[in-house]
Amino acid sequence: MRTALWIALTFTVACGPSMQKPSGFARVDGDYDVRVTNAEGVVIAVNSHRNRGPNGDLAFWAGALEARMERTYGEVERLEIESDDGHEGIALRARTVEGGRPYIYWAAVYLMGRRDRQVVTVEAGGDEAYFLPVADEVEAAMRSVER
Amino acid sequence: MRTWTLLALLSGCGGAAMYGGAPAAEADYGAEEAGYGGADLQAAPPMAAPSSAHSPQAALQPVVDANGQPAEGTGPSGPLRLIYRAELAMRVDHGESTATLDGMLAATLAAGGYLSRRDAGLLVLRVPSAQFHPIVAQLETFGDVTQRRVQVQDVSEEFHDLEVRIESMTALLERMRGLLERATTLDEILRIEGEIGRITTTIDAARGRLRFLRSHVAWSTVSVSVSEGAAPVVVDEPPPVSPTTRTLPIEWLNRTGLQNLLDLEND
Repeated sequence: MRTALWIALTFTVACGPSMQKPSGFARVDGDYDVRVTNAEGVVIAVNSHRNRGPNGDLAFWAGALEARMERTYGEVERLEIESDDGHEGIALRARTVEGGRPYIYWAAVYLMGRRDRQVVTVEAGGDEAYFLPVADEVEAAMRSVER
Repeated sequence: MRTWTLLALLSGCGGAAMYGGAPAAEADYGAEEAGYGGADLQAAPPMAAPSSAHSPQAALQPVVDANGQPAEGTGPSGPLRLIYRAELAMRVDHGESTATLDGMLAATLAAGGYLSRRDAGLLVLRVPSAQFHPIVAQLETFGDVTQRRVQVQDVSEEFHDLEVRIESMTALLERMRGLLERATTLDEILRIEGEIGRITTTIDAARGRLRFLRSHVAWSTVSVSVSEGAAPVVVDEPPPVSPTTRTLPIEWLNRTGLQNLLDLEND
């Protein structure tokens, strides 16, 4: 009985965040907890990280992510968002040009779990020509993240 | 007999001999350039009023009277006649040459001078000899002087010679006219008229040269060439540097971004 309880507890702790996969997307997880892509290469990915070490709040993690995006892509738009299950988050949006093509890169960060022990990041990106037609579905998927 | 004797004497003293051996044409204005044998000061210090009447610069001061006219009776052979010339090469800032030349011309006009010639980057000014040094000193303030050349030519002797020769030739001309009135043969008339024509030409040339010398003694020439410095190199200001954020030592954070996200082959 105790063994079964420990197994169940371990499974619960190890279980990563999930996300509603938009229609037309398929999973290609790779190094991510969840990563999905459509046929045109628009990708949405979720990852969770233990909020230890820095033990930062949402402002810290959003600021850290924003600083990295600014260093890489330049101007970044910042939005306050809320996940479908009620977690506050920060969405960051950037646009860049690679190989002569404009690309969209969105990122969102939430703190989830008990005492905000999990930093959940959602990233989405792709060629602007393919990203914008599915931008609403991407945004909905990024809000659908839950732990 | 007296007529022929005089003609014989005249035939031995042609126009060239009357100018001390120089051809008559060379005694005209061009010879003045070739025989320019005055003091020559190159790269001299800035012009300034001499502190002593016995200083070297004082010796180069135009000799003029209170009315600004060349003074007389100061040289060993009579009136001292000096011609002053200055050539200045100056450098000014890029795009400033026209304004500089305008300013120099205005200063010269205000000092009683006048414009002789103006070309691109060049002014030739005539200034009263009494104002020569003050005006040159003033002109030097309009830019950086890269070359200065001041020449003084003593034409007192030539001036005196011309006056004497004009006087003697005029007297000779009168005598030739007297002979012409008394001439009886056609041959005499033709020879005397030929001599009168040659003497008249010689006198005209001497008078022209004398006018030229008088003008240059009374009015000094200042030539100023102005060149511009190189155009300033326009250095584009670097774009303002944005505040620099530091990379945090959080490994997963530094893996975020399009590159990893879109690399679907790492599945």
